[in-house]
Amino acid sequence: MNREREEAVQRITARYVEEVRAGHRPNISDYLARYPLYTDEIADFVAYYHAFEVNLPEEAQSMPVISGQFQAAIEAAWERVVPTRAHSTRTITSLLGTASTLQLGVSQLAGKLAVSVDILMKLERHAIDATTIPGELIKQLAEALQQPTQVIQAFFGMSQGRQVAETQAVYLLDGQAQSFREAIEESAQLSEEQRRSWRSILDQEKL
Amino acid sequence: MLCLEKVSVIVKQELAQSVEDHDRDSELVKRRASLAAIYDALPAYGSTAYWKTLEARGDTILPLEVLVRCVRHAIKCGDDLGRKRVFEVIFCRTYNSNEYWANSVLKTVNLQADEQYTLLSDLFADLCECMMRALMDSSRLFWEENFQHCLSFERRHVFRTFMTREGRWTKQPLKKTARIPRALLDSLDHPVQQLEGDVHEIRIEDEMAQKALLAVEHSDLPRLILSLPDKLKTVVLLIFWEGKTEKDTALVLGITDRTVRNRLRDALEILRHKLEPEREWLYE
Repeated sequence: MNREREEAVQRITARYVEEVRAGHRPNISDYLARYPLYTDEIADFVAYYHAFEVNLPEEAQSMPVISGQFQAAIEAAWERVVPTRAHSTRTITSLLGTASTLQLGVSQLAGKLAVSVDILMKLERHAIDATTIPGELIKQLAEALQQPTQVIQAFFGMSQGRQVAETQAVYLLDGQAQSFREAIEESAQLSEEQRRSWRSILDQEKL
Repeated sequence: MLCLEKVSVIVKQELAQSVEDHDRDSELVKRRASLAAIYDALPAYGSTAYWKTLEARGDTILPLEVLVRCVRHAIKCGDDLGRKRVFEVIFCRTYNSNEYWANSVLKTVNLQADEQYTLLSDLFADLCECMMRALMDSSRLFWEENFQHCLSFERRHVFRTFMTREGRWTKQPLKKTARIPRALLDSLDHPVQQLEGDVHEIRIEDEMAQKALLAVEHSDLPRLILSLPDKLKTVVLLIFWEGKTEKDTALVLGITDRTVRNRLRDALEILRHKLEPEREWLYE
């Protein structure tokens, strides 16, 4: 959803929420009929709102004390947004999570990388042997996620020998490790053109 | 005559709607002006009085929307420490609801205690990160108007990403259903004995799923609906949450009755396995 569309949906659903908070039971159908361009987004938000938001506590009058666990989580978030010099080697723990902070969905990221969603999910779950991933894909991931290539390499455990060894051990335990080439050959979602293109890249990189 | 009456009702409804819109617009203008006035009345940026005002509680508490403008002003001034200090106030003030939200999300998945602890931290960190990025992005103006609603959207975004990333929620692609001959569709309305073989079984299963869905607590329905693809979500929401008929649902969505039934059937098919406990209870 682009920014403009998102704001339009936010303004519409804000009215719905306002009505609920005022103790009314607004008709979703009225909103859907009135804004036919946004039916899916409105319905999705309404379902989410009633599932998770409607009973959230109001802001407390006194300043709450943030638990150590949550304080650490806030610090971790700071580190991701504004890395300090002491931690100049940035890390990411999730490709999809990083993409999401850039408002990039799973299929959008897959599209940018010219891979299919199933391959992207395998990469996310470290289900592909890191040593078989082509440099071209690392480069494209770095560009798409706006991260240095070292950060992407670190995600796959490529930057330090020890990490690679650890990663491989995890693969062996899971028994699910496969090469990038196997993943592209196996994928039912990858187009033939994309498959050909990755084959040629893998050949060039002798992988 | 009937038609004229209908037209008159529609015109009256539209008029009432436009009056309502007008009222809402003027309320919005008032709210914007009031928020701007509060922001403009703040003490000089960075002074002791400024921070005292920002960190005040009780009656003098600042609207969160004003704090968003303060974050953005600190960024404009290149004041990293100031930015962090405003963020700390915002995180503190939203802590209770964010903590409650994170716990509610994790309650929907079966987890071991240690896994729960780690994922709670991850979820909270993800939310804080998204909040930071959104508040630091001065093009996202709605945060300066309705903070809580934008926060709800951000939480929804984090929820979706989390469920997908953790593999708890694989996005189900919407199947392109083949067009079903009208005769066959009509036959679904006839008694079960007219159907044969597999079709018989599917029909029964869907009926069970439908009954089970009706037996689900009303407040639990949205969580089930959330896991459906968008197109199916809307239909289930209108029929099971709002109690609309298939005909009315078709009218609201501008689609045919047949499409409504197809979508409903697809939705029940997806929800069937999630409804197993309700079914067991239903047929005990």
